[in-house]
Formats: sequence, structure tokens, C-alpha cells
Amino acid sequence: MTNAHRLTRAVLRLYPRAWRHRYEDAVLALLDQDLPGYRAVVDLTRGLLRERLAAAVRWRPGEAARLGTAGIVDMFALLGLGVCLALMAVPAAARSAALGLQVDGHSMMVVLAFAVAAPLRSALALMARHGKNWRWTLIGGAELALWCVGFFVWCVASFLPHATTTGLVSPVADQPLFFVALRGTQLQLLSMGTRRQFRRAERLQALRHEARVALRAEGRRDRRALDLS
Amino acid sequence: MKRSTDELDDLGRFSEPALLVLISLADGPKHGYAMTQDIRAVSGQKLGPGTLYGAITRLESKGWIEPLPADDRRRPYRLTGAGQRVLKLRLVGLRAMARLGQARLTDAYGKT
Repeated sequence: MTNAHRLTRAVLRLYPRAWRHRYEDAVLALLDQDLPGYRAVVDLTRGLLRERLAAAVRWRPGEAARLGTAGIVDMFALLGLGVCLALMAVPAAARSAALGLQVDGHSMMVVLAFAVAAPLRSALALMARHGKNWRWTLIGGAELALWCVGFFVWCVASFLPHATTTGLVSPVADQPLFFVALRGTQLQLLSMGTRRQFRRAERLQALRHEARVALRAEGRRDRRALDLS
Repeated sequence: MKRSTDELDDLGRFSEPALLVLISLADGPKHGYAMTQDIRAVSGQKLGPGTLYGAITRLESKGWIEPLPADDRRRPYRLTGAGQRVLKLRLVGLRAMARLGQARLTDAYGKT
């Protein structure tokens, strides 16, 4: 058995229980006959995401799959953006250091904002319950505060040059102040991206809620088909 | 062109694989491997197992195909009456589009 074949079997085990009960044997027979490559692994993985997301909204699999896929793509894009921006912040902080990388307080603030808050917020977007979520308010407020602080510092240092000599803004005085405003803008763009993701997650939750209501109304509790466990 | 309520477009990104599966089953029941071989021979496309069984899942939920008793681990499928009607509707629409496209090409660029 090749590695690709083993991977396809591993991916198949992640499909929803109800789907596997119905189709797993046939798919395994197909894989045994057709000797899959890595393209089959990718194809099965895409199918897995679709079936997992569509399991809760049986009569609107198209919309649920689009919402879920877009949300997952967004999450990875924002994670990547967060990591890239954090990596940019570190060399900027190390510019004045004689040797090696040195992350000062300002850059650590940026690293935490992008590399930690961004994936945390993305994960919350996908897990958001129907209705308001206080965690969003907390993280959104913290990130907005970071942006405001950064923008304020940039304004003060730009228009009141003597403020840097008095130590008022010394934590960021050795940074190109352009980067402070730039990171603030990047933070805002990141917020816009995840707000859109949050709305998608809310819509997906609403679809799951409608599915549960409809099934109760029909008088059936087909938990295996919904795979709600 | 008048839209039917049972259009394949309801299946979203599965509409093309679903059409290929319906066409493959049009000449008799087949299991998954036979369908992939037939579809590759007819259209040149190779459907992966995830795409194929995603389409089969949705076609079965719509009632356009139905499973037959399993032969070993392989389960053949066949078109239902509703599936035949949907396929016929779609093929009529495609034929009309092909004729229209051909006529326009001929009018615009002469006999091709």
C-alpha cells in the first residue's frame, strides 16, 4: 500500500459517521481498484470539508459549503498575514540592535496583535454561537485600543517633535514612526477581514439552527445524519 | 430559457459532476469505478473519489439515482424516473444552446 493510499484511508475515517455508514465501503473498493495518488488525497480532503459542513444543513449544502469553505480560507489567509506581519515587525525592532534579533516592547505588542490575536479571533469566528459573543467585544476592543495608541503616538511624534526628546514617546522613538501608522492600518484591514468572517460564521450558525428546528418539527431526531456530536 | 424547479444547478459546484454521473448511468446501472472509467472515456475528465461520491450523495438525496444491492463492497446505482426527467431537461437545454451557438458562429464568421 502506498503512502497516498494510506492517507486516503486516513482522510476517509474523518468523514461524518452517517456518510461513512453509507458510502465508505464503496469508496474503499474504488480506491483499491484505482490506486490513488496525492490528487485523490486532496480531492477527498475537499470532500471531507464539504460533507462536514453540509451535514448540519441537509437541504442547503451549497450555501453551507460555500460559507464554511470561505471561512476556512479566510482563517488561513489571516493566519498567514499575521505571521508575515509579525516577522516584519521583528527585523524592524532589531534594526538598531548590534547583533541578532531583539524584540522590544513595541514590536512585541505588534507580534501579539497580529500573530496571537489574529488566529484567536479567526478561530472564534468559526466557533461563534448564534447571537452576540462577549469574546468578540473584548478582542475587538483590545485591537482597536492598539490601533488608537499607535496612531496617537504617530500623530504626537509627527507634529510635536520635541515630545520625542522629552521621553514622552520614547518606547517607540527609535522605530520608524511610519511603521507605527502602517501597522495600525494593517490592524484595521485585518479587523475588516475577520468581521466579514464573523458574519459568515453567524450565517452558518443560523443555518444549523434552522436545520435543528426543522427536524424537530418533522418529528425526527436523526442525530447521525446531522453529526452534531 | 424557462428554469425548472428540479434543475441540476441546485447542486451548486456539483452540478457538472452530477450531470456526468447521470449521463454515465443513462445506459444502465454502474458502480463507482465503472462510472469513473466511463466518464473518463466520454468526457476526458477524471473525477476524484471525493467529487464522485459528493455528487452521488447529492443525487441520491434528491431522489434522482438509487442504489442497487451491493455486489461485494461495490454498490451499483441506477437512474430513477425523476433522474431521467432531469437529465432529459438538461440535455434539451444544452442542445438548444449548442444549436444557438453554432448558428451565431455561422452568421458571424461564416460556415465553420
